[in-house]
Amino acid sequence: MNLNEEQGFLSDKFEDWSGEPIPNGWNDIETQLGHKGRGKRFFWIFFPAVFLTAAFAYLGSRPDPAGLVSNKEPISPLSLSSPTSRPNNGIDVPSGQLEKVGQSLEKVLVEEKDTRNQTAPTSLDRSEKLSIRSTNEGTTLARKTQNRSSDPSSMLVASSRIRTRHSKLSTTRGKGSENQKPSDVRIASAAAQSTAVQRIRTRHSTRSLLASPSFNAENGSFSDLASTASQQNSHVGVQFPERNEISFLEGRLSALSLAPDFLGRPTEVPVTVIPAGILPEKKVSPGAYFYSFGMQAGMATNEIELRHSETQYQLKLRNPNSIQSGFVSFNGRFHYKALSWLETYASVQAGVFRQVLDFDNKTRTPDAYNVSYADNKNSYQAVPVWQIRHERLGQTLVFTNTEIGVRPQLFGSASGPFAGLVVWTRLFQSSRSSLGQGSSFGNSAASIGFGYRAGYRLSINNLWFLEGSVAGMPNDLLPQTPGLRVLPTLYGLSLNRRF
Amino acid sequence: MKATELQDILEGCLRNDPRQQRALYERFARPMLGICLRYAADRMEAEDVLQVAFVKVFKNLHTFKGGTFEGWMKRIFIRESINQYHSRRRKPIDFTEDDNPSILNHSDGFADALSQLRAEEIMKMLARLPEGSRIVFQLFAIEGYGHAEIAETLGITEGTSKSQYARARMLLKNQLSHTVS
Repeated sequence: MNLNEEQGFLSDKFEDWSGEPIPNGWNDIETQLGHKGRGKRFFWIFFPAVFLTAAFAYLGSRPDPAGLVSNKEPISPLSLSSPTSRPNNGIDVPSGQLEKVGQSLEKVLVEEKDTRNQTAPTSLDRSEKLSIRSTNEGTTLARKTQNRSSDPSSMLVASSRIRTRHSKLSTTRGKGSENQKPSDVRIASAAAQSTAVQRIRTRHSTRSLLASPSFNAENGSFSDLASTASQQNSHVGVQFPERNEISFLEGRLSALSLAPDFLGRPTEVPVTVIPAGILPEKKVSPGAYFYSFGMQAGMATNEIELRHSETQYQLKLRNPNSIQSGFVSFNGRFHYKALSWLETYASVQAGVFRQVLDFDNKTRTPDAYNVSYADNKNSYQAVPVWQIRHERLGQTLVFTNTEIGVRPQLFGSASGPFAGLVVWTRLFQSSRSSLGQGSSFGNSAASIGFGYRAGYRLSINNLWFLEGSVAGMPNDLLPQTPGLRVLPTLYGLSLNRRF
Repeated sequence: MKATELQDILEGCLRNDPRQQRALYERFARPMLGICLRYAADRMEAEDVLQVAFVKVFKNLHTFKGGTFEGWMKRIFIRESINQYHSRRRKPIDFTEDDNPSILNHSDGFADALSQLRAEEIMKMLARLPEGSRIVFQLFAIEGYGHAEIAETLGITEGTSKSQYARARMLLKNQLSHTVS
């Protein structure tokens, strides 16, 4: 029989010779083909943003349990006297009360306008519809009111700081005009028929004092409150009473001027109407600062550097493209405008980092064991043997970090790139290996290391901003194995709110 | 699986459709893993080869111009298994020339005897062979490759392939006789 006739003679025997693939075998292939990793990547990128936005939107839209009406509406340029105010947008205010309050407030303001005309003949022509100005020199309305009484019911000052869904308050010290006193308190009101029936938020008023530009009707420009306030010895904003909410009734009383005289009554209430669409982007002068708080979430990838000799030790990452690493953190920041074009910030962050890695550890017996022996009858050969062990390593790291960075405000934009130096600190670490004690990974001794973070900040409005960033975490914080270096790179998305 | 059904799956794979790719995997994973197991050192290595080879199949599917798809796929898995073997071994397979021509042409009932055994028993016997002889024997007797094709796959001469097969045959014959005795 010719040997060539034996070609394939065992084919039928092995036709049914098969093996049972591992259950998640397809997942690895799918990952390498780029289907699965892409989905996970998109999930990690967009889920935190959607979740945070939804959460904050929900929290911000909850009805006020105290019967107060929250003011979350955009500014609308409606006039106080306009008979065609915007619809109420679901705010449950009786129409009768609304009309009464509107009429009463209008009456009060007209009276004040008369007073103003006597003392301040120069009118604010460009956008002013109603302007009530104080005759008290050098005394802010807020301070004056606070000095008179600390009783909550005396919050008549709130009548000048009523924030409604159609109005925005902004107070500042006037300057550049002979007719305006340095401590003038103005109200930039964008509307208002429903002004008095809505929530009065002194906290917002204070913030607007600190952060919002106010319209200077004299010269038609927006003055920076922070900068003007810093030029004065007294700060208007801090003079406001520390009370967050003023009830609907108090607002009404103040608007109707029904409160007793001993409570005091504001006489300095310039009201201007800002035309729609001209509110400029906030510009903060050097020296100004603000705080922000936010939450960041994202994913991480690892760069693995093998330092062992490949002839003795090999390590294969089985899930190189699948994203099984993620983190969540909270941060608080202090933002300081150092130059007109440069913002610096210092951040403290705390969070949890979690990742799962699948490895194949291949170790080889040393070449010294490579022995060959042969004689006439027997032969023996011991060759180096590769031992392959699959290891699944789960790591959890609780960390804090401190970041100092800069953000050039190119062209004065509130959005732009930023970069910072990060000092990472490990608070807690745990790792679990499928090999148990046989794991080649060991704990790291280092608990502090340096890293970086860079990204882009997108300002949503004057209160919120989004940040997408890439951060390098030092490899020392996670469990390590000798000869192997794992460098995580974190891709995060954060949502921050200014305070 | 009908030819039209396989054709649909292949067209889907060419469109990079994940569902069709998974269907192809589920259809051929078992027999292809069987091939990998025959050449790999252990199951883990076989699974690695299976994974890598499937990725190659999907990425090179456009080069399939017709014929038996399973045969085309099988060659990729065998070649990948050989490549993996080379990379694992890191040394060329020892194909020692055996110049004894007496074993190249004879009729001894070896094929009939071996055919009586179960596949598992044959694999156990093959595991005792030198690696070079084992691989040549598998390619020739099980996969049905010709010596010219084996020579091309392994980078050896056709004569070496023949001699390695003869050597494997002789060793298996000895094992058979030892088992019988």
